[in-house]
Amino acid sequence: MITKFIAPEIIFGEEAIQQTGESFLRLGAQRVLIVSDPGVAEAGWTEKAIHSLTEASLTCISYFEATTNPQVKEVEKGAQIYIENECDAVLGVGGGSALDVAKAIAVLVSNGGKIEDYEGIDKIKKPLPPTIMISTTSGSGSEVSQFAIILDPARKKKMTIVSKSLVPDIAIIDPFTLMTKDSLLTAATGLDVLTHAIEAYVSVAATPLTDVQAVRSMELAERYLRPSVASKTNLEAKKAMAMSSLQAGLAFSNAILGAVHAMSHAIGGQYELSHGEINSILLPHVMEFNFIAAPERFAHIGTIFCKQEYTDNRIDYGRGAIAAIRNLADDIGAPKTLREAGLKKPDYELMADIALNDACMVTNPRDVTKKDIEQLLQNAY
Amino acid sequence: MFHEKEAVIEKLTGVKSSKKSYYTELKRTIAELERKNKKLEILSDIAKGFHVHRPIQESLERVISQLYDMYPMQRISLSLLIDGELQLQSMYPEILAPFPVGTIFPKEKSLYWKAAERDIIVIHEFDESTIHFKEEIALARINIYHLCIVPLIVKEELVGVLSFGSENRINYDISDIEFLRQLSDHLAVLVENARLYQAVLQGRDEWEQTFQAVADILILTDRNQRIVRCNKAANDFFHVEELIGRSFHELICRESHHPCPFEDSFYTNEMKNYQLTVQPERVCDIQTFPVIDETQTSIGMVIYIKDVTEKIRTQAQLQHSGKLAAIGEMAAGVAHELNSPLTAILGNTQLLKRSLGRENTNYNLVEGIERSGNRCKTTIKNLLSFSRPEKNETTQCSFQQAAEDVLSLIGFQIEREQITINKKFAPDLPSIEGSPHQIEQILINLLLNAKDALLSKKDYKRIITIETGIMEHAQEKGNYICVKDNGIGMEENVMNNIFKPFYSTKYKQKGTGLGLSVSIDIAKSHNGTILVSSKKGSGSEFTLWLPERG
Repeated sequence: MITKFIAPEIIFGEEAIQQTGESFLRLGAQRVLIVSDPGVAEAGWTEKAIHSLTEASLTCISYFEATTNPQVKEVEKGAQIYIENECDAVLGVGGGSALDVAKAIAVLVSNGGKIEDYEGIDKIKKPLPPTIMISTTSGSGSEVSQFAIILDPARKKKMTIVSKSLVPDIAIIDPFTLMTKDSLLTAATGLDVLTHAIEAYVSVAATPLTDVQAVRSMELAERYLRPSVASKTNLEAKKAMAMSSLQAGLAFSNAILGAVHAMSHAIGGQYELSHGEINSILLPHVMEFNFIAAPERFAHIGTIFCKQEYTDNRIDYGRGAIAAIRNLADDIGAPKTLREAGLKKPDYELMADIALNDACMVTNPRDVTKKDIEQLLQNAY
Repeated sequence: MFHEKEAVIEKLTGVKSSKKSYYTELKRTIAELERKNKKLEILSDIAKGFHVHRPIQESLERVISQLYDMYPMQRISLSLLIDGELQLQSMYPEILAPFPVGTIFPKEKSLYWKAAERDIIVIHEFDESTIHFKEEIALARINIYHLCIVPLIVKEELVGVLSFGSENRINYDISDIEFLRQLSDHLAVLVENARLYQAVLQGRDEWEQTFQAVADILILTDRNQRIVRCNKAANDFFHVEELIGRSFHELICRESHHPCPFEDSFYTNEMKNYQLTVQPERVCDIQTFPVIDETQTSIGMVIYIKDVTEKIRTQAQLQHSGKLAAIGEMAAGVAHELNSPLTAILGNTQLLKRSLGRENTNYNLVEGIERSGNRCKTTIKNLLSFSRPEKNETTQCSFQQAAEDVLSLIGFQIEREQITINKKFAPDLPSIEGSPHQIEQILINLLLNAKDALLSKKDYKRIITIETGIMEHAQEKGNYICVKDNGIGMEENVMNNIFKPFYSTKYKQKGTGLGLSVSIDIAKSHNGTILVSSKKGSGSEFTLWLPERG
């Protein structure tokens, strides 16, 4: 089997944000479009990035209108600002949403047309302008991934754009940024990271290289997610979760995901819900469903979460892993059902249809039918 | 199903795809720009290389050779719409000519027509088994299986069809089609221009030939009277090496004081007519037509000049000979009137002579009457014969006979002025061919001129010598008759003009100025000439020379 592992240049560490200006200089940028969301801007991280850019004598053009589930029009508006201001580089600062908008803007400004034209795999024909992504949430993995997810409200669908060109030139991860997240967001994004790591680990496209990343990510999350939720200022936990998020991102960007994300994308397209929360709710249900497809791998997850040596009964380890995940979610106060998360009367059939056609479904270890999905959704409701 | 899934996973994990590189993108962009530049270059080269004088076929050759790098085509052909018919006009290379030039494509089953009628670029590919169109049959013979047919449109009018042929398929993308369309538009304009230019050229040639064919003088000048154009007749008339660029005014009005016809017409913007004597003594009718531009201002002049010297001379001659004919008629009438009484006088004189007898003292007186009567009779007879309606048919005649006849007519007139006539007739002079009557006319002129030249000289012995003989002139043998006087003679400038019509040194009542001019015309019509030598104060000598064979 031939495999491939892709990753951007990664700058990791405290105050890494201050590297932004110099990084852009190296990329030859002069006028940078900064894409962020109001929340991140308020937390002051965008300000830090701008400061770094200004010190490097770069011109900054701000676009801080990214929302939780970014929509087509946000991308179009950003692209227009980029063109009107004759920008030559894109900086994304924020969580998955802001970074996806930043990436999608970069696609539009060099490829033209509509963002819908690039939905699917390898539709991007021309290289993107230099891009740097600063992740402030540690969850999405967007800063290292080849994905961008944009909501098309007209079709009520989350479009998945997949292309190696979406891998940013430089990813900057500064653990300090995690200190401004509240416990709820820390919990949701933490479980999202875990979902990325687990889905990548059991993915049919997993490779030894992604496995290393996925396993290390799970180990860190198992150990540091609880303390990270517990304290905004536990720098050790923040650093660990930032690394966990980065490694999960590297793993799933190369090994792709599974049914959790396929279903999560379906729900997110229809309802205004937090991506991290939906993932964390669906994760144990999908693990149970997928369990028989990769018992060895689930058993290995069990050894990580149960901190026990292998015995002969691998199945028990696998089940232990699922229980451990449930316990973890419980401990950090994440919602356990979709109803709890705010979902009202879901249209199971529609959800199932959409999820079945999601790109992430392909790498799910167990074959999935429409009925299976409907059942899983009912279980999670 | 399995493979399908595997393929999707492979795409997702991206073994077969990579991040797009700006380097390759730049290379692609540069290549695209270069291609675009090359296309522009081709367009401009085509425009540059397309000369109206160059055969279209040669221009097509340039087009295809320039296109070959980008589009490996083997053949190009141009068909033009002429009177609603699509006609093959030119192609390259000519060796690959399945249709002869001039072939008319019928509308049915014609690919060219298909492109032309729908105004679309037709990219067409075929093989032996799918042949349907007429063009295909012919092109297959020269291994052309791929065609790009472009209609040529000028100002929304179809002017023709351009066809590019190649052996192998050429993949045209949208920009190529666009380029071919541009190229064709370009060519269409050039072809159309060439066509218009040829038409203009032909029109110009036609007019020029018409202009040259006119026997009269045509001159076109600019506003400064500089000659811009003139026809051959003008060059012949003025005997000047180069008329173009010369001033018309200087040419025509140089030595005279009459108003300049050019200026008059130029400033009035009206057509004018003049009759002027120009250049050495030619009478010309001159018509001037102002050339007017769109603001109704004269920008030049068309001048039409007709040399009417001959016409006027002929007219005057006609008039003169008409008068002479009347006089002749009158003389004949008078002679007839005199004849009857003279017959009576002579008859009665003879009767008187007989009845008187020689011994009678009055016999001598009567004989004198008879002699005088006979002399009258001879004069009348000669007068009658001279005034008889002209018969100019040539016969064998002799200068001596002519001289005697003339002298019998006007000899008395001359001798009356105390002029001695010496006759030096050469014996056995061979006769010559000519009209006796016309020769006599010349001699009368010469003798009367000699008489007039003698009259103004007083107190000396007036002599006219008439001499005949054989002489060579212009390497030809002939006879001459010379009338020589010892009168006042002529100056050289007078001598230069004596043969010109209406030139006369005599008083108006006496001379018409036509005598010598008519004489030289007659001599020339006999292939002969009149030679003159004269010295002021000591006399003149006129020699009529005629060749042996007229």
